[in-house]
Amino acid sequence: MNTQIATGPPANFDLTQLGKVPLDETHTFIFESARGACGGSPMWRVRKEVEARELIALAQVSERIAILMLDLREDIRVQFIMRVPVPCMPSPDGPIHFATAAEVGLVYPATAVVEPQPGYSFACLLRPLQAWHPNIGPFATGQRICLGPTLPAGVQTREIIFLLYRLFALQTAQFNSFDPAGVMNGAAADWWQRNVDKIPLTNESFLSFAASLRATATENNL
Amino acid sequence: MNNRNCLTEISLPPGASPAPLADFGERLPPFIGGPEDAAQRLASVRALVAGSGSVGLEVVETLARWKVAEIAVVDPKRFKGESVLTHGIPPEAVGESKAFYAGRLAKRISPLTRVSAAERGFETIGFAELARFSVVFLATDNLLAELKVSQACLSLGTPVVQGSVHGECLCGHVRFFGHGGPEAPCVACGYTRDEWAHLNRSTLYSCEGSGANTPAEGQPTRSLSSLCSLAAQLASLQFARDLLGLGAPVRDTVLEYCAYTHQTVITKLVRKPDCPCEHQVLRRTAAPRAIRNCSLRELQEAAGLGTAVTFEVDGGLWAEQGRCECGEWGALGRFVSESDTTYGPCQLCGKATKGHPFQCHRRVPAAVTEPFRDQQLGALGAVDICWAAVRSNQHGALFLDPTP
Repeated sequence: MNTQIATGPPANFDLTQLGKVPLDETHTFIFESARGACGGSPMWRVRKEVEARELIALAQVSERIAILMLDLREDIRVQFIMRVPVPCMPSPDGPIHFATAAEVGLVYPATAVVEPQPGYSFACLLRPLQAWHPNIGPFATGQRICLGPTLPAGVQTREIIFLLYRLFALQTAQFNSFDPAGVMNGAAADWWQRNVDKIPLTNESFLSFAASLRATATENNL
Repeated sequence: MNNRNCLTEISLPPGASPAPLADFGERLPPFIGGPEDAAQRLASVRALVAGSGSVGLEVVETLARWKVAEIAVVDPKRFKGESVLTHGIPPEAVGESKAFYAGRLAKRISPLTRVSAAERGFETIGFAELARFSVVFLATDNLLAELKVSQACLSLGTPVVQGSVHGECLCGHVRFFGHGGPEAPCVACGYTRDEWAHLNRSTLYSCEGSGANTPAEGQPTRSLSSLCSLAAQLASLQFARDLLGLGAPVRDTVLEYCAYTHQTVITKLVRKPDCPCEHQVLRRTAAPRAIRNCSLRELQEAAGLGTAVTFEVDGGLWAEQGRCECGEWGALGRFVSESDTTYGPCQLCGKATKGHPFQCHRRVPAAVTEPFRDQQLGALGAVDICWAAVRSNQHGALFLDPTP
């Protein structure tokens, strides 16, 4: 069997080195394709290129996310799949089940660099469709994901990715439906308040996925 | 910056005479080195005052005494008991809207001036509405409002005169942003790391979906009322000097007066090379006809900025794709309003398709609109619009309908 093992981060890797990670052929192609059409003011273009490269490097080293589309023409517009359990409840009476991945659409506008943005303004869950999560809005409004009351001006896209991961995994979530700061689905908030024994959905850290893949591959070789 | 006509025009109370008590020229001096048409220049001013507190209210009153053409006042707050300590108001005004109180005062002083007010924040003023003002006076109490005023006015090339005080130091400041081009400074060019942090802290956004923001209750202005009045009068004088060409240029300067020492310092404001804000002044360009009857291609050609451009229209989002409840995606290719993105039935199940947030663009790259470039904007859903903007990486053009 031909197993492809990712180019993982070095042992002393930390996120400050993300911009220096050499991209492999696939990820270089994604980056260069998006960069070729990058538009906007000079400062915004520089910012987008830095953000995009870090995002792609994060996808490469973590293998937690796979980028499907990256568009830098105006906003940073990225569609990706994140490997994380996503709670779903297709029928109001249950049972709950867990999708193994989330397909997410993220839009980072130029205004987010200089103005704090509402926490629900960046990301939408594209699939699965029947998410059962206190901080994910109804399908009718695009399954917007609320990351908190407000995100600070200049928040980095990689931070948004980490927030999304912790949110999906219910490592951080806001259940209080009387607090307007984050609850997009009151029924789900109520349900999860009554089922706190089920959370978090995973204790894995975002960056541990690639390491576990490598460990599995090593075991198989043995 | 999307709701239009949010300003309410203020009329005289019933029975009040619309005739002015005196002609402004009776007290206007022949300024040394000044223009002969000083009165006419002042009379042609159309000013918007953002923030009608202890500084802004004084500015409004002064503009009314100059009998300018138009004054608009925006302020979301009402007077509190403590306001009497710093504002030029009588106790009876407590509880009244700051904006409407200032507007009514201005109208009484200058009945022929067109006066309007809004008990709202600056961001509710429509772009086309803002475009008719020749100057904006900024006297708000939070950095986010400052930033929004600066960004909107910079893109229109409208000067901003900001008056502020630092009560403990007995200092008054007037910053004059000329917004003359991409190399001119904006408010954010002078922000320190602390100010960016404060900007982030002082704002609360609700998750309830309206996108509205409510500034958190901030620190009240602690100052002697004299200092507030002084800052307002200095701001007015700086504007008059600019308008009438009196003395050295005041554009892109900050004037600081300290009452401890009676010293005045004038410092040049410069653009920060790595300012994160957009520094693009839109060139006002005539549309071939009413904007809703123009196609995107016509606007693009009239803008003369090449093909790698983006389009933005008044209050509209370009919905590239929509999604039905059944999960089916469908191509839309039209403008939808921010409040209602519903459009057409799903081809699969017949239910309503909605523009999806991930597939909606406020500024849409031209390439995305290619199949629809020759259709009129009205046919593409942009019916009730007053303006459209075409931008390249370096330049931009603004199309305004004559009567917003």
